[in-house]
Amino acid sequence: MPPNDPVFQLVGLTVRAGDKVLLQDVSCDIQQGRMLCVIGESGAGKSTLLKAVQGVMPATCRRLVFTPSGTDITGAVPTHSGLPQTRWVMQDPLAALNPQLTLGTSIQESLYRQNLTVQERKSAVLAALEDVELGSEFYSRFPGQVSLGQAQRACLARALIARPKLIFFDEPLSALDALVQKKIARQMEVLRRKTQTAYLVVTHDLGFAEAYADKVLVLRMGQVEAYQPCDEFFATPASPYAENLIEAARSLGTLSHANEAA
Amino acid sequence: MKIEALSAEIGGQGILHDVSLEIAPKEWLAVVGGSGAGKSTLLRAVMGLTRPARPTSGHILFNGAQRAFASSAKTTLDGIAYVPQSPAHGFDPLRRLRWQWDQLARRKRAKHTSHQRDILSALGLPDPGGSYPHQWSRGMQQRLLLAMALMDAPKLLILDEPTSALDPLIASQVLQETRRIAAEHEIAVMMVTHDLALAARFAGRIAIMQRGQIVESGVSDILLSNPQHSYSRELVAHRCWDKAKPEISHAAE
Repeated sequence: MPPNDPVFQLVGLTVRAGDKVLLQDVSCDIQQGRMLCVIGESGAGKSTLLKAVQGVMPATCRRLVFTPSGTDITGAVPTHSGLPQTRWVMQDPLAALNPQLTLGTSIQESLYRQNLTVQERKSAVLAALEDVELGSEFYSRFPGQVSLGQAQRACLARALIARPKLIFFDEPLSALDALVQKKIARQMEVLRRKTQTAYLVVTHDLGFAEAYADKVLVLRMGQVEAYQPCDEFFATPASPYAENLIEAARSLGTLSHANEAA
Repeated sequence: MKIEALSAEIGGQGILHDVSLEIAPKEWLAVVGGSGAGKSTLLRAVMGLTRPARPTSGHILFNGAQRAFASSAKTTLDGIAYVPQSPAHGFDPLRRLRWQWDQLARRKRAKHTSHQRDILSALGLPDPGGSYPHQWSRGMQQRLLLAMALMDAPKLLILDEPTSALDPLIASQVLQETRRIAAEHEIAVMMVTHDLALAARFAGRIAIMQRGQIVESGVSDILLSNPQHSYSRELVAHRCWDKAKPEISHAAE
């Protein structure tokens, strides 16, 4: 597969709930190992987009292509199974991890479909923990015994250990404090380069998008406001709304430009 | 306001150790720290709330009045107003907003309904009338909380993580309005946040907290350019996102 072909391509996704249109004609694609950031205020349809693509929510699309599995769908996005070879990382790691299982067991669950011996599984998990800078002592810890940041790292390890082609992140950093956010963001970036996994990240942090995204998709009330390469987006945003958004982030000091000026 | 040697604990475990702080009139101070640093406990102690963390020592001087933190007397200090982190913590969801507003006005003995209207219009809000909290957007709710806090012209306004529940667009709007009103009415602001970049943007002085202690404090610009404590140095180094985008190696590119 040539690397410039999108690993994931979505054309004309529309989601309705009754008479209400939650998402209107959203198209985007992601290349292997690249990151797309989906930005928008609450209620803009960011999470709806994720849910629709994963088949949790009924949706229609003109075309959805997911290359690794050869999925090429026209019409309704399939429910139940969702897309194979994809993983999720959620906003709240403590809600995403089973509190009664150790981190090691939780991470192992990603491997059950592969025919591995117990020993192989364990060493794979330890390697995954090491990848996210957690020591082997975390293998037997429960989610209640670790910090939020450590729990989110474990979720990242759980997603990556299955070697997916695409990971969906739903506000992966917003539950964490600023310092931990930056450290985990860097970790995500290092692992993305190493494993060439594509990331689709829903966030409202423009600073994060500016630093790491390859492309930015801005949603507002279910409509696409901007869909641009990252540099272009921050230099010449496609819509006045996107411009306001960048202006606001700048005034809060979250964009690096603003910090240089201050 | 002056806080001297405040310590607090939950069930014998120390949360705050000998915290001393000073805020001058009209000053904007940011308290910055990670989760679990004791920021919220500090705020709660200032507000006179003794649960879940119980203050064990220290006292607060405010506007000429003095109060020991450990005293059991439930005295809140006049002239301190508080805006919680999330509007969900600020309103009773079952009461009409107008009713909640009037209750507060009565308790605070706020005078002049015309002044109250002025605050609302300055924040771009309609009269809450008969609406319920859920009928307003979060940004509007947050602004209404701010209006309620400003109702009786406090001397000190306390903001708890003002941006964490809001989108950047609304957060920036709310904070800029706060800055304008605080300057206009000569209100001191104490803002608690985990985001040093935000603190640097709005606060004149920053105090950095770690594990229940203030490890460093100073004028924002000086602290940013020359942090002393190792934790402050780490915060300063990581205050904005890594701009240097690492090269992604694509075989065919």
